[in-house]
Amino acid sequence: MQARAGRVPRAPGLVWLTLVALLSSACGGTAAPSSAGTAATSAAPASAGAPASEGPGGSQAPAGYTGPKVTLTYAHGFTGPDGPIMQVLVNTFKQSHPNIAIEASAVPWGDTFATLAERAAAGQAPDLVAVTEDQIGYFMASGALQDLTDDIAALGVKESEFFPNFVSVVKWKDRQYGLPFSSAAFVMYYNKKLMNTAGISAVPETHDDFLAAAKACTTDGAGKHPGDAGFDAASTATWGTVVPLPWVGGTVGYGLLRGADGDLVDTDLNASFNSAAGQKAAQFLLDLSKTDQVSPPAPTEEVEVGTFQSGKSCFDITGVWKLTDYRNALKADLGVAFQPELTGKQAAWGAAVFMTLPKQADGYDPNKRAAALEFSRWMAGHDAVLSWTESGALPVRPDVASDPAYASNIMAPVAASLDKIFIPAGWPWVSAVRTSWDAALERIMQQKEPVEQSLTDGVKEANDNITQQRAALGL
Amino acid sequence: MRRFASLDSANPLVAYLFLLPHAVLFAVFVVYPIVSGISLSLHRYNPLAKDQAFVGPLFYQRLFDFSTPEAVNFWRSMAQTAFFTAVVVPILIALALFLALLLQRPILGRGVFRTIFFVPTVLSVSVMAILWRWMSADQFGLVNIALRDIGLPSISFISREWLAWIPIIVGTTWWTVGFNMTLYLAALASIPENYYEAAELDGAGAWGRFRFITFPLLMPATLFVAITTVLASLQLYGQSQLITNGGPTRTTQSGMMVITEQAFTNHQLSSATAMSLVFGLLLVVLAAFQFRLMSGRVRAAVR
Repeated sequence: MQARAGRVPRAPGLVWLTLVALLSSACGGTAAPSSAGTAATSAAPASAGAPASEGPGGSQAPAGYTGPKVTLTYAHGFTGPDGPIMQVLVNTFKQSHPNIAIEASAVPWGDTFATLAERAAAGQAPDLVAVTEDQIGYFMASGALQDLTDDIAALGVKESEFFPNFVSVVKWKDRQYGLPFSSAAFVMYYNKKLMNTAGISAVPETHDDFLAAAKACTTDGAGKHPGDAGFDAASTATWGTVVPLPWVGGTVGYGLLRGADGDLVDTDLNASFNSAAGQKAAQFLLDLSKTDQVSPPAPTEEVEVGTFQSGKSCFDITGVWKLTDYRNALKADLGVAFQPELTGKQAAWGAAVFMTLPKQADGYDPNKRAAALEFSRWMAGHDAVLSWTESGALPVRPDVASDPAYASNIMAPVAASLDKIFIPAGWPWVSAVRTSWDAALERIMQQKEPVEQSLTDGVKEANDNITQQRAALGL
Repeated sequence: MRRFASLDSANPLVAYLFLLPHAVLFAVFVVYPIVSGISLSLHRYNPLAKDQAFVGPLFYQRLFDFSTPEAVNFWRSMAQTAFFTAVVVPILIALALFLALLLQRPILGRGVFRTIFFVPTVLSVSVMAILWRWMSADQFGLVNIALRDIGLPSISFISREWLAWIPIIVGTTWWTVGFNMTLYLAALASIPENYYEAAELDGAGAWGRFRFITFPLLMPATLFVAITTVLASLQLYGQSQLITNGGPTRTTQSGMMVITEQAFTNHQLSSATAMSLVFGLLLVVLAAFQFRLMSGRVRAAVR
C-alpha cells in the first residue's frame, strides 16, 4: 500500500504535463492570450468628437484623417529582409499623418492567422492586419474581417487602380474586405551562360521551345542529351530544369493548371483538380523527369536551388523572392522572364497581401476606424506600392508597373505580365485544397500512384474537408 | 476548534495551503483546458459564429471511420509516430547508459566528454533540426558532399521513403542522449562503492557487477528515463516538421503534425481537438501501463 500511495502523484504529474503540452500546441488558438499590442488599443478612450472626415481628395490626398490623435496596432508577417522596408513605409506615413500613430509588429504569418478569428471574436484583434492570399478567403467567409465595400467607395479608391485579378480575390459574395498592396509570383529564372553553351539563343516562350531548350541543356557525363542513343540519365551533369516537391512543385503545377484553363475548385467551390486540365498539368510535370528526362526525379528544394545556383540547370521556375540569392550566385548570367506557355496559355501562380480591418468589439472608436481606413488607402496607393517594390514585391497597380521609376527594377519585364498571374484566393478553403493538390502531385512524381487516381484521391480528400468547413462556417 | 487557531504543523489546513498554489495553476492550465477541450470537440466550433452547433461524438466517430481523410491521416501518422518511438527509445536508453558507464570512470578529460555529449540538449529543436536538414540534404548536404568527395554515390535522405527517418532518428539521438546520460550519471554516483567491493571479494567480474549491482540499482532512473523518453518521442513534431516537413508523401508526418494541420490548414478546430484528446488518452493509458510494468521491477530491484 505504501508504494501505491507513493506513486500516485507522480504518474499523473507526467501525464498531465504531456496533456498540457499537447493541448497548448494543438489548440494554441484557444488558449493563447492575445499578444502585446492590443492593450494599447483597448485602453484608449473612445472619442466623443465629431466623426472623422474621410478626406475626399482621392488616393493622392496628403492626409485624409482629420480626427483626434489615435494609436493603431498593425500586425504583418514581413519578418525577413522586407521587415525594415515595411517599417520605413510606416514611418513615412507617420510623417504625413501626425495624428495617427502606428504600432507595427512583425509576427510570423502563421502565428497571426492561428489566433485571428479568436481575437476578432473577443474584440481583441489588432486595428490593422495584413492577410495573405491563402487565408483571406477563410477570414472573409468566417466574419473575422470588416466589410469595407462602402468605405472603399467613400475613400475614392477605384477598382481600376489595381490589376483586376488582385481585387476579385479580396471579395466574398460581392463585398470587398481589403485592399491589395503587395504581390509575388512564380517566374522563370534562366542562366544565360548555360543556355549559350547549349546553343539556345532565345528565352523559350512556348511548350515546344521550352522542351527543346531543356533537352539541349540536359547533358550526361559523355555530353549526350535525352533522346540520344546511349544517354545515361544516372550521370547527368547539367539539367534543363529542376522541379522540387511538394510546395514548389505544387505551385508550378498551379500555374500549369490555370494555363490549361483549369482551377483547383469549380464554380461551386468544390475541389475539381482531377479535371482534364489537372491531369494535363500533372502529366507535364511527371513527363519532365520520366519521359523527357530534363529534370531529376522527385528532387528537394535544396537540389533545385543548389543546381541552379551552381550553374547546372538552365531554367528554374520559382518565387520572385529568390532573386537576391540567384543574382549573388549567377551575377550577369541571370535572367528573369514570365513562366512560358506550357499547357495551353501563359499563366503563373501569384500571391497577394491585403490590408484588412478585423472585426472589433461594439463601441469601437470610429476615429480609429477612420484612421485605419486612411492607412489602408495610403498603403495601397501609388507611392507606397512603388516604395514597397524595393522589398522585391511585385506592384499590384498598373500605374506603378508602368512608372518610369519602376522601369529599372529587374522584375519590370515580369510586372508587365501581371494580368496573367492567377491567385488562388477568394474562397475559404484555399490552404486545405492546396495541401491536397500538393500531396497528390507528390504521389504522382514519386510514382506511388498514377496521375488520374492520385488526383481523384486528392479531390476526395479535399472535398471531405470542404464539407466539414462549410458546416462550420454555416455555408 | 483550537486545532485551527494557529498555523503550525499540527493544523490540517497547513498542508492544503501549501498545495494551493499548485492546485490553482493545475486548475487553470490543466483542468480548464481539458474540460473546455472536451466541450469544443462535441461542438462544431467556429469562434465567430453566434451559436456553436452541438454535434455530440461526431468528430470521434469520424476519427474511427476510415472513409474520412482525418481517420486515414491521423492513424497513419500515429503508426509513424509509434515507429519512431519504437526505434528511438531503446537507442536513447541503451546509448545513454553506455555513455554514462564510460564517463563515470575517472578517465582523462572526463568533464570535457560529458560536456560534449550534454551540449546538444541545450539547443532548441529548430536549431537542431535545421542543422540536420543541412547535413542530410540531398546532393548538397554535408553528408552527401563528403560521400561524393570520397567517391561514393550520394544518398537522397530527404526524398526517399524510410531513408527520411534516418536524419530524424540520428538527429534526435544526438540532440537528447546527453540529457538521459546525465540522469544516469547522477544515478550511478549514488550507488555506494562498497557494494562493488563486496561483489569483487565474492569474485564477480565486470559483467556480474553490472548485471547484479549497477543495472538493478539503476532501475528507478531507468523507469524515469523510459517514461519521459517515450512521452517526448510520441510528441514528435519539430524534427519532422523542419527536417523532412513530413515528407516524402507524408511518410514522416507525426501525430502532432496532423493535429496542427487539421486545426490551422483545414480550419477544423473541433476535429483537431478530438484528435488531441484521443491522442492524450492514448498517452495516459500507455504511461500508466508502462509505469505498472516497470514499477514492479523497480520495487523488486530496490528491495
